Amino acid sequence: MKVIVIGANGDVGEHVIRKLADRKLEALAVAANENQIEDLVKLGAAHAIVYDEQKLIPHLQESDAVIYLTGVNPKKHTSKTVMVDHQSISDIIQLAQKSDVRRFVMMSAVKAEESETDPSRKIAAKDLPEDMLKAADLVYTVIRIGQLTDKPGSGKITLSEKIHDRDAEIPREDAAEVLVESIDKEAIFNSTIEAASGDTAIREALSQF
Amino acid sequence: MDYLVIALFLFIAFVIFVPVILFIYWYVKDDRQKQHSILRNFPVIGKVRYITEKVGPELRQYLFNNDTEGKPFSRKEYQDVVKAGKYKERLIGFGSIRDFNEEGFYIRNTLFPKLVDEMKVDNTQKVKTRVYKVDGDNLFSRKEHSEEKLANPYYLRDEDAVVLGEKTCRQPFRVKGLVGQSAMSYGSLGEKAITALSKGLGLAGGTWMNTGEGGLSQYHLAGSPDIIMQIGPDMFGVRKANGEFSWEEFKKKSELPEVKAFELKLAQGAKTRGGHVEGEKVTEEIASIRLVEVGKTINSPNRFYEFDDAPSMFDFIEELRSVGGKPVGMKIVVGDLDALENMISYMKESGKGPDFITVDGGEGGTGATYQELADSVGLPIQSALTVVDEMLREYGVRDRVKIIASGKLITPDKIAIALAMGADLVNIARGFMISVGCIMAQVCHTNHCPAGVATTDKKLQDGLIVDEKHYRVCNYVISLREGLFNLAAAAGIDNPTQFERKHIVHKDKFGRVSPIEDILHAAKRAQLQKES
Repeated sequence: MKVIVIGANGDVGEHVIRKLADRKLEALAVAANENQIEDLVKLGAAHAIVYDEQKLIPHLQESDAVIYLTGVNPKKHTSKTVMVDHQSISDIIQLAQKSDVRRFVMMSAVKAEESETDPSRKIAAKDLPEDMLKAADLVYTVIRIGQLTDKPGSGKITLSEKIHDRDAEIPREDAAEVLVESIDKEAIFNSTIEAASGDTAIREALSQF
Repeated sequence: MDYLVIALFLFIAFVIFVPVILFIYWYVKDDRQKQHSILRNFPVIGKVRYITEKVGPELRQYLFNNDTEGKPFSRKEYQDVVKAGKYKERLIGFGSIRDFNEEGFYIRNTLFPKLVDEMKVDNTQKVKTRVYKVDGDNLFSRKEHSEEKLANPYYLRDEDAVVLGEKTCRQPFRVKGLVGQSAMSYGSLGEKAITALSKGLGLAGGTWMNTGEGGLSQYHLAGSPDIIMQIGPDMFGVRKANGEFSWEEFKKKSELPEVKAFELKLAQGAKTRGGHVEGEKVTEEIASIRLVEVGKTINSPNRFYEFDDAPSMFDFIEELRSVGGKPVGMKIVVGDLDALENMISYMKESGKGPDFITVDGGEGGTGATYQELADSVGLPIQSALTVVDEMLREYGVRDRVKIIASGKLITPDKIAIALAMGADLVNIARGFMISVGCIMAQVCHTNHCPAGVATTDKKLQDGLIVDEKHYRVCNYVISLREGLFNLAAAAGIDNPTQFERKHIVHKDKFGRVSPIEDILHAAKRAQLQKES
């Protein structure tokens, strides 16, 4: 299986690439600039390219799944209207549909901290990327993760539809594991889930959800 | 009633009689002794002088010196190392406490620095370490806990790695970081300190550990770090019973995978002479590693018997290289520029010479030494480094030899300045001692180190927990490398190997700024004057 990872150069992306390589899945890494290409190949990516929509198309056409990573952080973006570049996510979703990629896994953030009445929520700008994905003709999974940490992965998480603990943490390594494991778990097809550190093994948690 | 009387009597005895008796005893004793004139003239009361003198250094260090005072390292410099080791954190608030009116070196930042994404760093491998997090910091209580962390190691990219002995050796030494541990022997430092250093450096990777002249011990190998084995004039660990060099032992050592290079120690900053270890520190084990007598003070000769000039030394180096297959360097202190120039010109002439030169500044020195040697022999690193670099360039041999600099370079800015002055790599000794618990008690030579670092005393070493301290060593070295990348970005270069003379300037007391070349001219003028 070929998996295209968009935003592979980030802190979670590095782990995603390594974990895909560990599973002998062919990873196509998409990075923000040229300087990161070498590192991504070293981490185990089959190909690494700089983000460019035109160049992306042939790669998307060969891919079976997309993992879309964003630099989201539940605490950092409070009261900001937008967390992710809307145009880019919209473009990618369209390209994915055109290229007939069936599976789309998007990383988002737990937004427990912000009430429904937060002005940024009212205009739905923050939910827009997730809504666009849901509306698209794709098999999607949105994985909202808690506060990211640099601790080594424990391999254990808790999954729920809504995590209410604003301090819920998850090591980057585990977040990456959840994203990679999500690709073929039918239990979470077409759903939005929230993940933080917990007591259940990742694979088990995803299969039983 | 009786009990009360007895109690009262005892009370009076303790509170009044005991002090009075003690006072009389001390008075008579002080009055009669013939050693101290102050005590003869002012018995008992004169003791105040000796007591305050005794605790003076401690009081100054903790209470009276301000944060930037204190030598060899100020409180501030000490804390910088400790914090980097414990928290892997170097952030400060409200500005620097450096005295900007004083003269000193500054790094030239560019108008348009490099973005983090543009830096040529290799963070593909993570390092599993532990860092402390502060839970609460109040006047009478302070709580912190340590937690695991996957840290970015800040290695250089493969193409930027520094290579020792690239063209001369069967097994060149490639190193992906610019900072390593300077020579510290087992014997000067205890087994726990050496083990903690070895494990910490092994964990961090991209660094090296210099064994010091005391030979290679199992403690150096404990964490499988890359090792530069030092050979001093006494040739500990590579000598026969009669004191001659043993090629057999040398071959054995060179076959160890951890041993990456050898260094002939001609001198070190603390002392331009061989090593010195107090008899008290020479345990059975140390004696067996070094092949010397137990309990007997070791005073190494101040020069090798094997060679006495550049040609004979270079021949020895050639032979070491062909037997060992690994890079061979030499450690020097720069003093006589003529002798140095002769050696370098012979390098050009003969096509032989060391793979690296470790230039130790006169300010360097963990070792036990004599005050006169520590204070005034050898040039400080900032002068020595530029001189060596320039001479090697003048004779066109700079590309054959790497320069390792040392001498109080314990923070990223000082390291960056040394790199810009011509160093390829930097050695640190005392910074690493601090990271394993040294409190700068300045008693390394006595075997009574209160932190259990520079002592072989089992009891004192009880204080040093290897499993806790080795993470600090790892964090310290990683944090230095991260700092170097920060500075490189500010200077507009994509990795710290690119630092050149043009990236730094010297500012004098009057605010005048001059380039590094001026120091060279000054050094040359001084040499010319000496000759005439």
